[in-house]
Amino acid sequence: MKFALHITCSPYSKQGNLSGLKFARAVLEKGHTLTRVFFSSDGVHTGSQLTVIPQDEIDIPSAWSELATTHNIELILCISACLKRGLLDQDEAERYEKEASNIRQPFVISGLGQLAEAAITNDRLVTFGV
Amino acid sequence: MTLHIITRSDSQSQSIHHCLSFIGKKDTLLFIEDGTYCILNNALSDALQNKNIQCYYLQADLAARGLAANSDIEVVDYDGFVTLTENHHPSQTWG
Amino acid sequence: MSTNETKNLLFVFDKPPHSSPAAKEGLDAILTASAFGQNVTLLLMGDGVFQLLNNQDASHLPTKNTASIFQALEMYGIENIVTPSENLKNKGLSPSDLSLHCDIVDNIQLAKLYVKQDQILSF
Repeated sequence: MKFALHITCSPYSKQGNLSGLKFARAVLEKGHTLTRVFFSSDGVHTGSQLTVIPQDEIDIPSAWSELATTHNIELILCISACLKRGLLDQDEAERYEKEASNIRQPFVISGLGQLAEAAITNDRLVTFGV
Repeated sequence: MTLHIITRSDSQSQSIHHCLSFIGKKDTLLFIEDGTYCILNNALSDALQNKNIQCYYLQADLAARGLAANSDIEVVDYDGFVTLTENHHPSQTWG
Repeated sequence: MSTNETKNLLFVFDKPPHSSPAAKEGLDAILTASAFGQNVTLLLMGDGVFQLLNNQDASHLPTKNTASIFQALEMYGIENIVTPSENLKNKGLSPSDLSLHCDIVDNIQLAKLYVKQDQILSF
């Protein structure tokens, strides 16, 4: 079965982000395909490469990155949510003449169309946060 | 039929009440995160039982909150959570 | 997009306006899905119905006013806008308090609406 996830909360302000990560792992362990995780609203904070997590806490953003790299999952950050929250990739930093970009690999910035498409092309769409 | 995922307690959010107002006995409820606190509301548990709605609670979130599963309810781990989404479709997450 | 499929997508808004950007993102998503040729329905649950209250003046707030986007939904072909009658009643509202024509549904109609859906998106 093809799964997509929609995450609407940041990694350390609500439990939903971590719930989504654990659900994602279980989806893959059961032999399903996880094609895409779409992060909207405060969920986009997951894609910052500048997070510093205490050693005795789970590094949720890194865990998403590792999972995506291992299993070839698209991690997509909602562009309008990103820009307002100071999350910029190289292209957007140049477009808006900012000094730095800060998106973690392999996250990419794109539009809400990617969420709509995920809802259409996957067998299951499960939301976390809200 | 729909899997309704409840993530807030009954005092944090009206979601469980909105959900209960229209769901039918073919629908399924899954309580996760703070939604697991709903287990303490006896009136709610009675209402769910009267409507004959299948309820599941996420074990890790019950345990994290010091909530005990009783014999009336079904608990699932994340593997079971995925199975619920396989068998009940579509899913709605309620904030 | 590489698919010709048409799906029934239910968008559920359950938050009031102004205090969070949820409705703005939800509106962008439903407009996109509609542009992709999908059958979309907007369900206003709970405080979500406050999105449509008449006489909102948000001019002193810094956020973009979403009321005008709601008004434009019909122009973009989004005609299925639904809210439960029980919800209106609980809030002491009548259809004339809303800025947009909604299908006011009872709980049985709402249950039937859910049965038709392929995916549900929450905002």
